[in-house]
Amino acid sequence: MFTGTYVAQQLLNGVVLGSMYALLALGMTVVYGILRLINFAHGALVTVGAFTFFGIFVALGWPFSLALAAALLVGGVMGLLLDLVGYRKLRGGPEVSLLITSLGIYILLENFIKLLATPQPYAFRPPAFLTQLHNVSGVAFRTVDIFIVIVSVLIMVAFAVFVKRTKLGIAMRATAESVEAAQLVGINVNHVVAVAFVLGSAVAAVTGFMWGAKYGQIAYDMGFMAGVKAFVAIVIGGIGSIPGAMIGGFVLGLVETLAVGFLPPGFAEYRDAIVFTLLILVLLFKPTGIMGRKEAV
Amino acid sequence: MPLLEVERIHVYYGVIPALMDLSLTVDEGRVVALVGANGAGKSTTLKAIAGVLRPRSGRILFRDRDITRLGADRRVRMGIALVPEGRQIFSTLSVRENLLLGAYHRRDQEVKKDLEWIYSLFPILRERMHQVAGTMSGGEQQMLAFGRALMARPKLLLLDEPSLGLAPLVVREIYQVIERIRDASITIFLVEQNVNMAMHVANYMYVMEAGRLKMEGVPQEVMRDEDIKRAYLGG
Repeated sequence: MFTGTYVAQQLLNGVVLGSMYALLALGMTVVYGILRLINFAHGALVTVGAFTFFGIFVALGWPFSLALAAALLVGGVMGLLLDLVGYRKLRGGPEVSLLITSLGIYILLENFIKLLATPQPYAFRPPAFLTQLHNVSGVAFRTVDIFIVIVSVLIMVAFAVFVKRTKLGIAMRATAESVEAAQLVGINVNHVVAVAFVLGSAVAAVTGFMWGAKYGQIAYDMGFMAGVKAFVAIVIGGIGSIPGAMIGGFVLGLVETLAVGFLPPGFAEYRDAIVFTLLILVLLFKPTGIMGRKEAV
Repeated sequence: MPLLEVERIHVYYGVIPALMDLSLTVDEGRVVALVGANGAGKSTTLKAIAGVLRPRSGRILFRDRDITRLGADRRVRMGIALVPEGRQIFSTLSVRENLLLGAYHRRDQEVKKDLEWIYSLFPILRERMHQVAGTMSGGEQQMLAFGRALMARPKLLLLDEPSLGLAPLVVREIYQVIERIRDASITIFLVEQNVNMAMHVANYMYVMEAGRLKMEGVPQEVMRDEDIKRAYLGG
């Protein structure tokens, strides 16, 4: 039978995975809120961030904090470029061309990384202090697990304060509600959209580092499933809702981990199928998600 | 002195013409009204002035500067604020957040002072300060839309059908506010279907029909016209 320790272990694993989903969902939902774009290229930023950190920390041997800062920076700059080069000209046109462009950008970035780094996966060794093992009454974890949860919560709190309290954050929520009304109060919508891309992409790049540190391996296609799962998290939480995206991320992480942990062993390889079954169920029975409102048509 | 000059603009929605060869002038310190039937192009005119729509030809001058190619947000910074039709307040934001966004472009230290001024113009907004704006009544939302536009410290305030869908008592209240804004020496360009209300507050009137200017003059003069009387005042 399942012991209390086993349950606690699974819950912890779920929260760690959920933290990363929540961070990705957060960046995706902010962009969605304004542009009504499901930005599939968001997943590629996970790969970009992981490889940036890998290149600087492992290949060049620079300190951990510098490598992490570089991943953050590269992610932010990439986000800005995506907006300027990829999406800006398409705004005001049909939403589907934005969507297709984001898929195209994902494929472009994935193949570019494949070209640079070769298709083989790399062993990703985080700094020693993160790999230290702990054991609290039978529940085993490494420092990196705690690092992921704490940094995720800090980023989410910072983001909540940003959208709630700062002028730019309030403008971002206003733009998400109505682009036209935002322009009419003097908000430069291009500026707000660029900020949304920069923040979301920088966070995604940091998530890429977490992903690599948690699973010990990175590959050119690691961002694909991460991006898709973040999208599922958004739907679960309620499309367009910022708190919803974060809640959806945690719910998804827990469901995925617990399903694998408590179903008979043969089901473990169906973890993605379980996630997408959950997506279908949400779309069937509660399409507005946990926090979502009905969209005005 | 003209504050705003619209020179022979043509505006299209796709291939459908909405404004044809429209010219008008708004002098500083005045209340100018634009009246006309549904679909005459009144709101389109305001949107072109505010920068939401671009004219295909013609020019728009504000304080002698050509603003035809400027985006809406740039025009707000120059001193043009629109209270749009249907109010378009940010319904998920609080009343206070809506008002602060009105001053989004401002970097000066007097935003707090202006917020107090708005609260004194519309005491109900002070009471509802922390309430989510979408939960207020239509009249309260209209006042919020006014307040938000005034927070930009506009030189020219564009009002699109401020009385639309409001109870007669609320309409009267709104018009009292318009008079107080005029007294604060803010120039007003007003679009109205409620010709009676427009007549009372305006110094000058334009009448539109099917995307063109039909007539202009001081209100008493315009209202003497037999066609206009028949069309707007029921004979």
